Amino acid sequence: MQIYLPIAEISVNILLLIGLGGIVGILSGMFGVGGGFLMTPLLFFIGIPPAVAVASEANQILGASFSGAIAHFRRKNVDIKMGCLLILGGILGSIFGVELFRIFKNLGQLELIIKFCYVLFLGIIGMIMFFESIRALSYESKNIKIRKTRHHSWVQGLPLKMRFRTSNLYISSIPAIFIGFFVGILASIMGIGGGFIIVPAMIYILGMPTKVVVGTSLFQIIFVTGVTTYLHAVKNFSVDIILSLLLLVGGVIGAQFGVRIGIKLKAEQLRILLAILVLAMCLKITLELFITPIEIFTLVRDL
Amino acid sequence: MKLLFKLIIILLFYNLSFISSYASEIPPSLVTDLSKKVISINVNFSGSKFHIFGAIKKNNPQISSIDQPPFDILIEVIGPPIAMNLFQKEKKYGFWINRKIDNLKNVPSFYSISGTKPLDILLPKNFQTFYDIGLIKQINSNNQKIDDKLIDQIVFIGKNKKQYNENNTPITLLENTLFSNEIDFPTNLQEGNYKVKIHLIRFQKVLATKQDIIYVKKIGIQNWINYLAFQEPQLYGIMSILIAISFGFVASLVFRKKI
Repeated sequence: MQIYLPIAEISVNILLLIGLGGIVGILSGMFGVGGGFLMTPLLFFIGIPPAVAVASEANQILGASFSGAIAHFRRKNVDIKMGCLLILGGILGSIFGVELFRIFKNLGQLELIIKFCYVLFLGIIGMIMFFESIRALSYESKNIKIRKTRHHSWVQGLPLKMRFRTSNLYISSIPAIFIGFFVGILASIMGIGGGFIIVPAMIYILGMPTKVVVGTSLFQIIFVTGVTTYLHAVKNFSVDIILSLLLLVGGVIGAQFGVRIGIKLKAEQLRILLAILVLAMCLKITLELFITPIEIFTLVRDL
Repeated sequence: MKLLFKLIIILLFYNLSFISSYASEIPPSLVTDLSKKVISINVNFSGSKFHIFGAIKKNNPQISSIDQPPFDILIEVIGPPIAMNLFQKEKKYGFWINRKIDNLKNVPSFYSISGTKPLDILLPKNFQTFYDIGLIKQINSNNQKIDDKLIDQIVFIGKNKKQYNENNTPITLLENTLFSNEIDFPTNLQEGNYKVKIHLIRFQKVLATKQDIIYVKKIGIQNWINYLAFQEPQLYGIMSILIAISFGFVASLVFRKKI
């Protein structure tokens, strides 16, 4: 069953798209990661133009995060004040990122930049996950907790301090805006929510309690991916709504199964497989950048 | 006597007309049609096919040399022109970087040529230029001064993407009169008018050219999405956001109780 994607301008098997959404959904449900950094490279591999893949994936993350954010909102696990600061930074980052996206697109370097970012991030995330899961496996028998929440002293020294009731913090607003800004750029260039960066940043840099971290990050992701979707639609005409919807169908159902699988199986032990998958994808994209291409010349549509 | 006179006049007239037709023979013409006038790209579009069929019509009442075989047919299908940037990959700092070489204003988005024999056998290169036939001519006529090597590259890329086809299915000419040809359209098809040019060739000379048009358009939801995305991008952006959010909302309602 083929479906013609109107913006990507290619025809893809509908079951392949729902299936990809489903598999990534299962993985994200199992391991509590957003699917963006897995989904976007997979879309490259099946031949979706990178520009369309990134913009449509941002829109998909918006839908997927929204349902999660509602659940956290009900349980009041969202620090709205902190979230608003992150959103402010995120929107600025998104505007900046979409502009960079447009410039690189016109220069013909967009694919290179996106792939380069992915090599970097998949490499780093894959390595961290790989070593963390190995460490978790070896520490498991000794029952030692490895994570410690720590405050960085330099964060305390910054001006523009604000009080955050929900997180029970009195810190400067500058690092939150910067973190938001950075994640906003990533969202617009790579088509990711950025949960895997913002969650550790909230814990280790801002020192927020783990209880509110996931909810607040989802809260900020829906706004930032929303703005990113809008800007990509207006500036780059690269949001394929049919593609986003098909991925959402697979992703939402997959995530439900993933959560259940994650509860039954020991997901921490399977995390090493995810790490290997991420590293394999990183390797594939790296090779594409370094191996002599078959086609030296490329024609790109001039809009 | 009157009868004889009439007969002579008729004979004379007949003879005259015969001679005059011999002196300026009317070349044969083409009668052609397409199996489709419109190709619609809808949600389940996965490429399309259409047929071109026709006949050679002889225009002289008597047997004349120009109506004699060998006849050859060439069929060109030329897609709407699009603007393209040509990039060349160069190795820099260890990895491959695109370098813009040229901005091409009018590259045919689709080109297919098929014939009873390959183009280069039917017409020599200088004749192709003269008659405006062939892919290279198509690319060159719209953009001045393109390097031959670059044209080769453009042709190579187009063929890889199945947008350019040369000598795909050979046409058979039945009884030196009837012919038909099937054209395969790929999935990555541009919207617009596709020119169909049918040439009748005899001894390296184009005797007749018939031009027809097939229109490719997006219909239904495809057309609607395309229109919104490019004509009303603000509205389309907001719509995308709302669709994604409402999907997420419905999903949270459906799956809330089950976990």
